[in-house]
Amino acid sequence: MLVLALETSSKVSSVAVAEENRLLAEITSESRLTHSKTLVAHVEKVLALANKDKSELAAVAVSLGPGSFTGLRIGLAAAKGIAYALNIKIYGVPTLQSLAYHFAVPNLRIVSLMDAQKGMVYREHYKFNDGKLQIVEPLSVVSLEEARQEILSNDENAVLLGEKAEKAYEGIDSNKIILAPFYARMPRGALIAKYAFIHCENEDNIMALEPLYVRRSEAEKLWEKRHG
Amino acid sequence: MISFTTNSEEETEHIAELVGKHIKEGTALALMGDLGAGKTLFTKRLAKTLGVKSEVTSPTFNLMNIYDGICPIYHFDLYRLNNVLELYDIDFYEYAESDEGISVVEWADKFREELPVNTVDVNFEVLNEKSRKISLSGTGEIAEALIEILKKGMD
Repeated sequence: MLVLALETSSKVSSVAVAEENRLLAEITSESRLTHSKTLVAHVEKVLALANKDKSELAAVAVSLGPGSFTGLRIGLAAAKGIAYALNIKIYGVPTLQSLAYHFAVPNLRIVSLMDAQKGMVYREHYKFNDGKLQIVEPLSVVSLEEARQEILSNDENAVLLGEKAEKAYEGIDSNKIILAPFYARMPRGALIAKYAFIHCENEDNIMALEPLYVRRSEAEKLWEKRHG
Repeated sequence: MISFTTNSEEETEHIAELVGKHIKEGTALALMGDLGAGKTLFTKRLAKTLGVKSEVTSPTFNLMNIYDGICPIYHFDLYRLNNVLELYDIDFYEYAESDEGISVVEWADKFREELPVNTVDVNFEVLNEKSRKISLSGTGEIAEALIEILKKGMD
């Protein structure tokens, strides 16, 4: 099965074409250029690099966030357009979980940290048991300092991933906690493809698939409480 | 806090130019004041100083404009927005908190607590037909530094 993977949930723009156990091509960049200007051009280039035609694609996998609203909308709109036009499957992938596949190893607490703005981060903790991804601390929005304290309060080996990992790591001085190196820290199309191959037994509904708007949903609850 | 009294459009534009010369990426400007107090005039001149070549108009209906200058400039008009959820819908936080751009937010007083740490409040007060009192105050390290530079420029 040939999968096209799109990752636009943060400043990183990444497009990959992969088979079950092989990355054929990937373009990953972290620059000022906006996703709307680069995404479709990168899809064409990656297909060319992979020496594949779009008619050979069996599915599109897309990063669902949480993350940048604008980025997610661009990625999802493109993914839906491509899947609909080619009449192929679409898989939505939770971004923070996909990051965990940078370190799919046992006996390690994996901490994904992405920007939720206003000094807050999206964070989720994982472990790989028997090669399977397990969530040990479910996704929520916490302050950077809370995220740091959570990491320090565990007496396990841990690795910090995601765009806020570097910030969270500041001031941490422990031989059990490492900051993932830059080349294995950020979202990537290859991770989105990998996640889709492993987790997505059932395809998503192209009409119903939505980004994970975690921060907005929390704001909505607060707003209703105050203004109910 | 620093205040200027301007007695013509040119003098208001001069303040905008001064701010434009010294403002750093990662700063938001919260523009407050009545209609006709000079917010748009200020924004136009500021954008020009920041190297924007395209036309600058208040995004009253489209909510946000992005201009290409020496850095991206995000121009918001929050006049038509009523609750915080609408700020999420337009991705306000991500743009306003970007450390690569400069944000200019008109009618910022509606959502003042939602603005980023580094914000310069710019208050426009109408004194009479020609004269305006423009007061600037900063919160956050970068914004406070800007106020200090403006103060020095006054000496």
